Amino acid sequence: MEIHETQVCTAVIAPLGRIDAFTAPELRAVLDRHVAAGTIRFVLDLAGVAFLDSAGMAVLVTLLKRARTAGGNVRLVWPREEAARRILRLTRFDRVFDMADSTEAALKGF
Amino acid sequence: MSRDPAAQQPVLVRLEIPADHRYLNVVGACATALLGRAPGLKEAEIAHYNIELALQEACANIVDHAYAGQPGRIVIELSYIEASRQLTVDLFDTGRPFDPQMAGEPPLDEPQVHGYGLFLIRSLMDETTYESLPVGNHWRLTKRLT
Repeated sequence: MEIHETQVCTAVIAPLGRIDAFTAPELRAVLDRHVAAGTIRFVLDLAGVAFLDSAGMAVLVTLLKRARTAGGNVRLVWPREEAARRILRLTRFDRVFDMADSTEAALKGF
Repeated sequence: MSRDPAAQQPVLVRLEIPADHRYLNVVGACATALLGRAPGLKEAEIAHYNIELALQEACANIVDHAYAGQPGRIVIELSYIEASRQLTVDLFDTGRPFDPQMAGEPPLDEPQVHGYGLFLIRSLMDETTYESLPVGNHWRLTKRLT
């Protein structure tokens, strides 16, 4: 008998607080580490993100492109902050990314 | 509209910060604090967030493009007229002139790494104007709050 085993990992990343031009490199470094380790499926839980600027958005889009190129994907959990949700709709991030209401929902069917 | 003469006068706040991402949150916090005492704004949290985001983007553009990593200063003048609920923010820097070629709208149906900054400023503020100065740049962002 031969047994082939494959483990497919999904990284769940939940930043808290502000993601802006100053803090975005810190998030990028964490994501880069996962990409370098071969992770191609990501759930970015933005529920606890109080503020997201275009530098933070650039980090998310860069990850999305890398993940999809490798056959994976990035799903976003909506921020709790209504103002931040409106910005994701304004920039149509809610159409570019698969959105979910919770980490559990995002992980389903991945 | 208020008939109180004091409400017709602009409240002026002037900031000067290093052109460094580390300090940009100071600008939004200042605007939020200023507007936090303005009575009767609808959806105040949304309005504060949007103004904070627009100012963050405007300052980040100055750091990234006008100064392009070089040290510099940003002068920010906030002016709020309570009677008309109008916020005007003037930003001054002494960096390189703005390149209008950067001003295109991002194609939003495709994921973009760059181009959201100006789009957000223009979407969130009522008016955004740019003026090239003999030395540096002047941006004016205006928002009529409801």
